Amino acid sequence: MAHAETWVHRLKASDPSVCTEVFDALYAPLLRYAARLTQDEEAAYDILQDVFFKLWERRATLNPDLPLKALLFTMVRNRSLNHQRDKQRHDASRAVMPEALLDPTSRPDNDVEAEMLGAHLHAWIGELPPRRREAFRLSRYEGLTHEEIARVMRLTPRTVSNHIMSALVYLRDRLHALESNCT
Amino acid sequence: MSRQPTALPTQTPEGRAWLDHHPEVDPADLERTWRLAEHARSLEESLEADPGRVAAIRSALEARVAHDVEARPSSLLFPDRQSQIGKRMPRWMRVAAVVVLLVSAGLAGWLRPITRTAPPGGSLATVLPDGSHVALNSGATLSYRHSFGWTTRTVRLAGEAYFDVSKAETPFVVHTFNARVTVRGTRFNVRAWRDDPVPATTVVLEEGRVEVAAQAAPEKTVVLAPGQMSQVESSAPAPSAPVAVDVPRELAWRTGGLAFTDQPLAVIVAELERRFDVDLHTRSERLRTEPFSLFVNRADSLETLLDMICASLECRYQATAQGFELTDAP
Repeated sequence: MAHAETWVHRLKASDPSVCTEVFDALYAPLLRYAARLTQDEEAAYDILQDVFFKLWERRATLNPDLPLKALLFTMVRNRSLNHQRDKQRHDASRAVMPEALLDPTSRPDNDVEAEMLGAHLHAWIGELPPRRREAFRLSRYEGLTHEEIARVMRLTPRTVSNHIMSALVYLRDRLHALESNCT
Repeated sequence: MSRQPTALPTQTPEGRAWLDHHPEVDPADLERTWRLAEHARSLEESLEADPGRVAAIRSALEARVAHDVEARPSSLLFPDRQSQIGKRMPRWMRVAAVVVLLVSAGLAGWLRPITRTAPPGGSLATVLPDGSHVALNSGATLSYRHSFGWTTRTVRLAGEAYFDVSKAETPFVVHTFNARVTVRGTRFNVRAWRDDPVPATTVVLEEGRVEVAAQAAPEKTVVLAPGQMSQVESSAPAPSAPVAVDVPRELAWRTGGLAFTDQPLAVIVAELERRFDVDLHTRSERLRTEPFSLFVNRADSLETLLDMICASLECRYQATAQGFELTDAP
């Protein structure tokens, strides 16, 4: 990420290698974000490609003061929400049961307890309200700062923080309940 | 590529304000929950990107960028500066400025090769003057002369790179420390790390036709067909006979993955050092020479990879000032 601040400048200078450099650094979290919002892996790949082509086409008009990472997450988010709206699909769906939960032998791991805990946490995160879940995942697993999440989700940093704190309180309560059941 | 530590949400200004309004909540409790949430990371990240599809998008993007850049080559280097100079100076002054620049830069600058290096921890995609595309793996260096493409298309490679060579009459030649690879227009991968425990140049052909020869015996060539691999070991007088390989696997590095089959651990460790820009060392001779196979679609976390290695080789790793040290498990 050390080169992040120069990416926009290099894009504006039409540096031919910068596009793939940004792509290599960020495609995995962007693809995950699109897949999660659309619940549609096919659409996620299309969105990923579209976003990077648009980034290149609009390089001349990029604002060097805005962080590129937040811009890319925002572009992915807008396209994902449009895709969902076009499909008239309401997000009543829960996170799909992960395979590892259905078949605990499928992932050999020394630390079975940690894995079970992970599976519980994953399920609880799936129970959070959609926007709270989105903010929490971007913060905890994709490493975005509150400011970046605020830009992407069009919230104030304060609201982002409130979402994350409330998510933590919810997960804490579920953890406590689990722990008191076990002892 | 290592993950940046994320600030604890309880320690941001907004988080502290929230805690002030919720005195019944113990911040230590929330911090523990935040830490434990790490256990869900592998499930939260369970969407494994399909390397083939990612590579296809990447190639399409590369082609698009190359198309635009080739279409306006004169403004490639300094688009802003050029337009400013163009507006301020009369034409004769611009010509004079260029002449002065050329003379003062001198012949020495012209003769010095152009060098592109992928930084440790990163990779680099570059386009040669003939439109050929080259992707360099972490730490690899490609160099060529300003005269590239006039009568010859010759490059020198130290490390690993993937070539997508545009078709032309002039042969395209890759020189490594001990081998030469000759092509006309094709896609192939060359791996030539001189400091590997068994230094060798390995060529994998994806499409088209290539000729491989040892620098020591240029007349003994081996011709590869798509999907085949040949190797020139530094002590060998000629390239090895072609064998069929799994090409997507051999090219896993292009999409951030790692693929090694029965390689001494020292070779894998050297790749991890370049890829993650860290120091990894071991005093154990057993660990250095132990053959190991490793295949991951995306090498994001060094610790996860070390866990995988140590689980099967019975070793441990410990953080040091610049990286990690591997030791035999007691």
